[in-house]
Amino acid sequence: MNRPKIAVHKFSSCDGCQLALLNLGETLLELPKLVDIVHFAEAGPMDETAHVDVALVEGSINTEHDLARIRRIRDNSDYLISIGACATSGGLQALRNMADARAWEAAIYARPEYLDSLDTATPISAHVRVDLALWGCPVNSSQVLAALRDRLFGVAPREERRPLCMECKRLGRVCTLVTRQTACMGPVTRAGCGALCPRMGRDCYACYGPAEQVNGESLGRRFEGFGLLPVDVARRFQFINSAAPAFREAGERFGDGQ
Amino acid sequence: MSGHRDIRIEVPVLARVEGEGALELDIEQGRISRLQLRIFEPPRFFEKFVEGHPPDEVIDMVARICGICPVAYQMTAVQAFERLFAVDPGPWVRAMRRVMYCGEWLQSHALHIHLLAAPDFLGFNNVLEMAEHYPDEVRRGLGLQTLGNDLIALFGARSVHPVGVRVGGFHHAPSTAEVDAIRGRLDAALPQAEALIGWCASLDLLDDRQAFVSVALRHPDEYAIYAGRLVSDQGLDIDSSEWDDRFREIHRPHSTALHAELDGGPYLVGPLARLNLNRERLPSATARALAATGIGFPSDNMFHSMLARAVELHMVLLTRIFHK
Repeated sequence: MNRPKIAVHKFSSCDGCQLALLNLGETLLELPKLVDIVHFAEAGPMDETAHVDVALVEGSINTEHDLARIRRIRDNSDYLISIGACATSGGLQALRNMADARAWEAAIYARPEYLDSLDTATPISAHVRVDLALWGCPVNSSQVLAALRDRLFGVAPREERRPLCMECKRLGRVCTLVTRQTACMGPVTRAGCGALCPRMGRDCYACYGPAEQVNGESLGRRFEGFGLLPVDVARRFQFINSAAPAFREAGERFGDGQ
Repeated sequence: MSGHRDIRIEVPVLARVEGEGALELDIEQGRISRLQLRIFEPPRFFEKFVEGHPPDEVIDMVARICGICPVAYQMTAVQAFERLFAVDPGPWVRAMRRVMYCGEWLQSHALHIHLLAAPDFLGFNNVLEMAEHYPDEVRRGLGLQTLGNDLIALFGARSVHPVGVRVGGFHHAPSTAEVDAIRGRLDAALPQAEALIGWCASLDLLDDRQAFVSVALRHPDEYAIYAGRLVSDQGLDIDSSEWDDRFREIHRPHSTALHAELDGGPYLVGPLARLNLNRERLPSATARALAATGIGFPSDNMFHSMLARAVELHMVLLTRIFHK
């Protein structure tokens, strides 16, 4: 059997989305029956410039070196999937995009001139075409395996766009926003995690990125009704996925009200 | 090795390590003239962007420093805030945070031994190749890794970037049924961990002795994981608030990761250093399993760090989960 070739590439990230594969347990041993893993540095296989059927890309673009690498990876890949918040929206480190990046370098590093660092942390899609984006900080194993399966069977992936509230209700969880007045981001956040935070009795903090039809103004006003200052509301949107357009704009609406 | 050879080794991307690193090694006339571990992982500026966020947001943010060890960062942040606020969350919270931390050691050690390190010692490129020749050992390792992930999720809902820790305690306590189920699995895994200690000790390792300073936490009553004083085998014994008096971070041209020195010199942290300093705190069952290998600690052989991981993995399985 001619198994499709896949590669796993890492850019600036915490490595957590690669664990969607490395944490599979015994299922990990089944993976080579489906696909031929030709590049996955953390797992061992090393052939970064091989032509592959599917490339899974983790992490955001932060350096000049990253720019050259991601273009080469795109040229060598038939189908490119961004996995996780960093690759899909820039991730938590995109908070620097709203700050003076050079001042931050000087504040932390004794010798900023040693660094190869762009002023921004940007998603993969800002530089090359992305065929499928998987949201989540981190993505979970089901999302990654479903994407690979869909590709192997030649069916169009079914992207989850509904808000987390749908998933939370289906699971029969008590709404933390209504019953405890938490600043829960469920109404504007993409489903897919399993409503983990509401299940723990706490507010969703939007690590799965924006759902379809984000009404940030309405939710933000509700949070203000709970006593949050506009700056607190802005921070709710500008957090793990601060550079996702729907969240950035909602955050700016409240952040600018200072 | 010949005393007359010039060797240059450049590894642009190291395989089977966490994060991104490169190795550059020059040997001239049989002597190392340059040796650099280049961490080119670009800066992400956590030090700055956590500023201005409330404590519970910071606890969610710092998890993202590392997907394999998010619990370590969360536990450090929550303790820093509780110290600032002079809040003591009480003995149950302290004990259960240590249990959650045990889950991280369990999954991380199992991952390190089987997916990262062991293939090198046995001559394979990766764990998938190794599994064809050592199927039982690899399955045992992956099972222990899964158990560790499930132990983190018991308190944090997921193992990567868990969502359970907050200032003052946890967002949610696990149910009796969940606790009972995982308790049984921890007990059932003990014989596997004992076999793992024997297996790691049986690997054909170099006898490579080096002089180094071990640094770790030490706790009066337990094997230090969650809390303790900072100690070394050279007499260091300080509170974490005195860190800046003795430790210094330095920025080198070849690496984004800052280097650190204790009293102006290098030092070792991690499982080997911890076991060197805390071996008297091992539970008796773990101490017996280690004694059966015939390998004594403290050890100055860096290759014993994999065995030290197996020993700590056994020790964390003995952790006790209880109800408030």
